[in-house]
Amino acid sequence: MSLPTHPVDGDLQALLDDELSVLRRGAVQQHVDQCATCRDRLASLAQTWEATHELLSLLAPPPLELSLQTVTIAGGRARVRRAALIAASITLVVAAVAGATVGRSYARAVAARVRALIHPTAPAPRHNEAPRSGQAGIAFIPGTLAEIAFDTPQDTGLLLLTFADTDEVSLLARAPVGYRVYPGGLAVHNRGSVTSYDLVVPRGAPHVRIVIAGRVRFEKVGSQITAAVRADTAGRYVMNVR
Amino acid sequence: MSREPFERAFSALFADRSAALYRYLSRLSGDTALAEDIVQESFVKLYQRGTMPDDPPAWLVSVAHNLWRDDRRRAVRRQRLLVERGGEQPNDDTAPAADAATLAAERIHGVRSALERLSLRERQILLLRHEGYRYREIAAALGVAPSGVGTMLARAIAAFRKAYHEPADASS
Repeated sequence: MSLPTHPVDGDLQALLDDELSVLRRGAVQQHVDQCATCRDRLASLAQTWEATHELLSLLAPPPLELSLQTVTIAGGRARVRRAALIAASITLVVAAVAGATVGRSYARAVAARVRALIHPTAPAPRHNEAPRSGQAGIAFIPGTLAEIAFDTPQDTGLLLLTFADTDEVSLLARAPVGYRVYPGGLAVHNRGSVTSYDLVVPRGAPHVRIVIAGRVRFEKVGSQITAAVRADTAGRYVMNVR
Repeated sequence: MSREPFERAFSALFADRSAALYRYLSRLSGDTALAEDIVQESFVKLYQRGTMPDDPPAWLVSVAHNLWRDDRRRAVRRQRLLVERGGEQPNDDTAPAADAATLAAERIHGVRSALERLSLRERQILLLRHEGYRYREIAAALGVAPSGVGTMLARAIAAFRKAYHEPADASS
């Protein structure tokens, strides 16, 4: 059955985009077939959309350089952290109950294990004391993974990443921040900081990852690099700490 | 419960939609680096979720919009902080190409300028449709009725064409 009145532009646009229901499409199409004015309107809409497409295509960005692996690794780590927190919460409840029944020493021992689960601490690094706060720089020898994780994004501040023929990962902040070395990397406690950082990583390090507030901004696995920024002509990476 | 079905669906969704989401966000924000960050974070959030929502492409767009909004708020605070401290202005990632004399650069600048003169909703609808999102997905992502998308899209196209062909100072 044809429409009693001319279809609105929205219906014609939806007809062009094949987005009308079967019934509605039939009615609109039948009207257009019988109405020269609406045929002209449809043709004009099609031409305008085609031209708009062409203009918007001028804004095509460079190809996306994000791999599925980067996403699943970042997502997997977050899931493990969440699972650990859930397990720790349950264990704390058990410890509280246990403390009330079998004694405080047992509860203290369980609580110590929970703390270790949430905040694992590494053996002291070979070359530097592990500072707790207010230090400008730190260095450590990486294992199979060297992860440098900034707690929070910063309003300002840059991270300059350079690869060098060295055995150590070294991070130098322009103003003192807190650090903590853990198995596999270094946490930078930069909450409230606006400073910039120089990071030197061994060229031969098998796996390097830079994380800012839980988001992977740079990852090198072997010779394959996934980064939020491009390297400069000297092979260095400069990224905002945000 | 095995995550294998979710992992398969997630991989397929990433292959199918990550580039389109990135191009959409890049055009919407004018910042390709930010667009890539937001795409990564949106997919990470879905991976953490562990189950597919009812409309995964629309869900991703919604999450991406929230992340972009959060970034814009931080950018405003950053700008205010720099002005208060009298510091250097940050680099403007959306600045037009240096060689604006070429025809291609002028057209690109004209398209960017026309987009910026649309309302946010008009820009979102136009750019989502340009990337091939279906009306149902656009409606779910933007919180509007699917039956209204056609009309909103037609108006957005007309507004864009008007803004593109009209000099900026003639519209004020």
